[in-house]
Amino acid sequence: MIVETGHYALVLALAVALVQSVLPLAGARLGDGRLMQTGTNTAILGFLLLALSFACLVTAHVQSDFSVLNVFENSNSAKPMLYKVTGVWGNHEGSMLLWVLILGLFGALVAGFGRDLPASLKANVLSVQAWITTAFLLFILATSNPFQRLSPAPFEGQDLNPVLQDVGLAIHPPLLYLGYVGFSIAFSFAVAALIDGRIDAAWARWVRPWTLVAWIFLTLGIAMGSYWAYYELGWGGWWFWDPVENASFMPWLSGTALLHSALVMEKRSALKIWTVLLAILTFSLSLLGTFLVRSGVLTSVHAFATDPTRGVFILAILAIFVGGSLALFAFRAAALEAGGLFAPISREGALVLNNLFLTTAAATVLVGTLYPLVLDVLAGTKISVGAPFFNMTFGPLMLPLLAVVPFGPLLAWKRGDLMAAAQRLWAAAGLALVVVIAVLAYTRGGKILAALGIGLAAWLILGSLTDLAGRAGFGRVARGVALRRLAGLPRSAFGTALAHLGLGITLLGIVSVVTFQTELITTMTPGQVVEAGGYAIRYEGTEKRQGPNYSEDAARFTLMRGTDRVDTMESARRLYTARQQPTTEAGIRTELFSQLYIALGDAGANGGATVVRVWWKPLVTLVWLGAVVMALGGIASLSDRRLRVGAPARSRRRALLQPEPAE
Amino acid sequence: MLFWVVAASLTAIVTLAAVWPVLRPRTGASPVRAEHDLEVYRAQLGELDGDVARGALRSEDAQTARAEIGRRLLRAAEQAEGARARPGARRGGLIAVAVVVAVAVPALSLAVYGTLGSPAMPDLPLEARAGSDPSAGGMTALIAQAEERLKQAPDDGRGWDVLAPIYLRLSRYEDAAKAYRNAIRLLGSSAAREAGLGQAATEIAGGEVTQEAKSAFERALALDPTLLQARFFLALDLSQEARYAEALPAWRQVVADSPPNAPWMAMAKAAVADAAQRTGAPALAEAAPDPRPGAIEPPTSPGPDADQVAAASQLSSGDRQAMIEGMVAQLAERLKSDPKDAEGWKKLIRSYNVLGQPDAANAALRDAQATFPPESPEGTDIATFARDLGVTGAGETRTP
Amino acid sequence: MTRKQKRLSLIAGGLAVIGTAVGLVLWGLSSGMAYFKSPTELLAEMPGSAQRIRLGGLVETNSVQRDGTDTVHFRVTDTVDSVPVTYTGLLPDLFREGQGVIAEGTLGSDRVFVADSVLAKHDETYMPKEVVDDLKKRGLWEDGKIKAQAEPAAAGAGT
Repeated sequence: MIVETGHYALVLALAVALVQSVLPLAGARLGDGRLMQTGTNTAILGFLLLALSFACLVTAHVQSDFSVLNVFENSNSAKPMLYKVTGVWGNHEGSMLLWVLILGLFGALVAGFGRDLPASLKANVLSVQAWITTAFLLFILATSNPFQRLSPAPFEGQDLNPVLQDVGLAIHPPLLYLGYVGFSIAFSFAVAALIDGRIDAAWARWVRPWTLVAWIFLTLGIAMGSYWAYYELGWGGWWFWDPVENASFMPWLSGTALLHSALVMEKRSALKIWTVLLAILTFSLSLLGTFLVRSGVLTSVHAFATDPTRGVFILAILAIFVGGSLALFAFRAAALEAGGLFAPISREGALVLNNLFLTTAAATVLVGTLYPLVLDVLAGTKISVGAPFFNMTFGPLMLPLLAVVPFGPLLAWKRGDLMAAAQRLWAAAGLALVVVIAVLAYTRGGKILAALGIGLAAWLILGSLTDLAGRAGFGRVARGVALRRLAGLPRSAFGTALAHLGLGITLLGIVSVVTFQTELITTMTPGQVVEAGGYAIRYEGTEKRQGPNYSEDAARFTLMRGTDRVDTMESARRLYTARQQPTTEAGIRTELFSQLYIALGDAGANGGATVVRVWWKPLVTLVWLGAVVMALGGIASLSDRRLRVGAPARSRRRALLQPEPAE
Repeated sequence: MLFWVVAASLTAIVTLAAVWPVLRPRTGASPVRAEHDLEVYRAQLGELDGDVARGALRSEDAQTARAEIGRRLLRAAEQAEGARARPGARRGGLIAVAVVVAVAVPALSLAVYGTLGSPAMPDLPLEARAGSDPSAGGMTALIAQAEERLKQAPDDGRGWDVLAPIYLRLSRYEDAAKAYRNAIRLLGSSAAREAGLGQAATEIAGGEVTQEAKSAFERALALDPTLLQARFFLALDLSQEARYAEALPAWRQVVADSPPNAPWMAMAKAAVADAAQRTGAPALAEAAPDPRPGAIEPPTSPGPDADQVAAASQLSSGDRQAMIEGMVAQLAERLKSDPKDAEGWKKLIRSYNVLGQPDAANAALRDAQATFPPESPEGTDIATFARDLGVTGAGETRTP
Repeated sequence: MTRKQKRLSLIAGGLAVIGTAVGLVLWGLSSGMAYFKSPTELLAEMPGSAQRIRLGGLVETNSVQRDGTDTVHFRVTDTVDSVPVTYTGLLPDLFREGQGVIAEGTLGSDRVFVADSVLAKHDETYMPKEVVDDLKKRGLWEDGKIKAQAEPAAAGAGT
């Protein structure tokens, strides 16, 4: 009953999405408020139906109902409850349902909170949103139905891929999807503007917060995924330039660009057409990411779909939406009113520079990701484009951008004064130089690149603090006044500063771990001692253990500083019984921001000896903490009341008589 | 039934809620878009003042910004004056839309769900099923369910067709024969059904290929001349009727066409040897019994598992016992060197059980569980299988 | 600045960045990409040690040797030819004799392939896509299996 109800709700959601695809759009054409209103109703209904459907699938997983093919293939009665739940989206069908559920959620949010939007804009946005929903619901029902039944029902399920049995997995895909799919709102707004042939003033005000929401989730999702790969795969790396990672990184880059260009558009009514294009591109990259991951064209840990019909279906969706929206853009962009011009040295100019670098960088990542696929299809030549390519292209493009980031927020709109900004950044530059010299002295001149990299990170961090301090007037007015002013600054100012600060922190982590990490691979017998990160690490031996659905060899290590015992660590090799699949459970010890990381390799032929890989990773956690700070910046910016839009009828008088005090 | 009630109410609520706005009377004209623009610009002016008041913006900068926003505001105000709310759709058109939606949503949902869904299928949460019938591991429950359904819809040919081979494997030969007959009656003849019917009839007759069985096998062969199962039994029939001259080539053909590790191979080769001996034909080297593990099949593996029993019944009981024990010993050897074979362990446990060696069966179960811990799926599977046979794994006393 | 100058300076800046990016991409592709080769192709072509290669095939049965340090020697075969490989580091969980593998690195002048990374992926049934395509192309792959392949060695070789 529950399973079939879920299935039926999914089908009904498709019917509702079809209604939503047509009626509001027709209403906007005819200028009929009632037809437009159906968009609000259907968007919320559609979301409720999808939520019901998803809840039913979760129930089936929790109850181990193996009469559902999806549960049978991805679950097992012995699996801990947490992974029974996370297993719902740990597989292709379930994750696609989650994808559509989030799509529905964003549609419902626009419907619910968009009361103050111009009615026809809202109606168009909801219809475009419904087109996407319809396409993906068709995809799910036709090729990846999670409610397919199995009769007679087996008594035991297969298992979720053990690499995916992890708390990280519980959070990583939903976050990533909230990010990916969140950009659909920006896309829908862009297409709606193109359909209308006009961009309302409210447009930019609306696109930015939605982009911000998606961006926050995507930032956290990428950081989470990176940390998950870091500790779960046992390879010690945190970014592999794997196509799946690139698939989430490209929308992040262009989404970041979109955030900045939307700012120009909101404040200065410039860059309108470019922002529309960027919104389309960002969601197109999200769709491309979905295609790459879901179609199985890539062989990767994440690619669990191998059915070619699915690939073709998603490719068709991709072609229709990307091709269609770009064609619409080419056709209608001329109808949009172009924005104003500005001097190259100005806040707008800085943001254009930001956009230029970010989109170019996204394009190089795109080339590196797709080139092997294209070459394989066209010429049959198999190549791989790995980390060296990305380091060679992405790095040089990012460095100049990072170097000028602190200038941006200090420049005035329209016409900026570079010298004035430089003067205010004096102290930051000086301190950053001191950091460079200090690092050079510490390494006795051995690591010039490391020194420069850390200096750049310090420059970013100090530059963003300078911005805040300058705005509050530290140094110009009394400290008490400055503090009060700091507290009274608009939250978006904090948002900018925090996001740039986070960028600096991440850079610091990256540079430090890349240049100062030590790595040691050796065969150890019990009692043997190795040195890493200032510790003597003694291998004590390995014991066999049984987990709920795995067996493991757990190796114990004792950490000693000199002769003092500091701690013990454990690192394990697991074998998941149902799939006979081995995994590595790395032992990780965090010390402030640095980590000691121990992974086990093969067991040696003679008893007790084992291959051990030990890394000392200085400041590695900053890589992810920086991303969290960036996301906090996004949240601060989002909480700024100034992003909200008033409704004409209700607040007109108030707004005319007394300016709304912003906090 | 309950499902349809839920589905119908869901559909009704959703359809009604979707068309509700259309059915309402016209609301006041919504604001023109330029009015929304005005609102945004006013808010921006307000923010500007706020920034200046806090000292976040220098007043001269604010002045320029104010002028710029002011210009946009004036233009938007002009537009708002000039624009007029459009009339909207006509009432009749809206009612037509509502009717179309009210018809299309349920129709589309039912059509799509009808092709994809299984409305009659209940949920089968593991907990509820575990309580149903532990001894039979749910197989009985499933069969009971199917039987219940067939009682209500006795003309469901597919149901009989699915059930028949299950009966056959469970040694419920009378039921199997009935199911096969029904399936043939309702769905028409097929090689697999005819051969199954023949096998069931043979088993009912205690291993003797009866006239009914023989004609069933012949019909099966007419439909599929390569069907080994039917040829095996027809050869067996010849042996049983002591027509060794005809049986010998028939058995040889079966041996030649079977995959070398087919479970019935040992029997067929033994039968070749037997027939050769009786007809005085030279005993061929290949005719020597070549017992292989797997001759005694668990009920779950494909192939005519009852065949061996039938064929073996033709041998003298002493020969048979020796042959089986030889095979079992070999299987045990193999599992010792390669224990990762759940099916093999099940075979071994079953064989010991059949041979009347419960201690050996218990030991085999324990050995199997050393490789497959009881919580692993294979482990559970083996444990359930053994429990069905009455093998508990108890008794640590001796290992054969 | 005039309007025209503003516009021009924007366009010039944009072109400069894009031009740099194109240059970087071309440079990166020429030196940062690796060609996939099977052992037979590798021995036929003998590329120089500057060219990065992804060598794909099966780990030859009974070829894995450890010399007591963390360096591993093994041979990669496509059932026609095989190439000796040395690798220093931790092998992936599913590195087994008789199983698919991709070694990335360069071919040394002594015809020994020096790998700096070895991939075997985290899946029991996984066979690197390139390896499967290559085996298929040469008719060495059938029904999801390698034709005439030696039995995978017992679990001793792997973890």
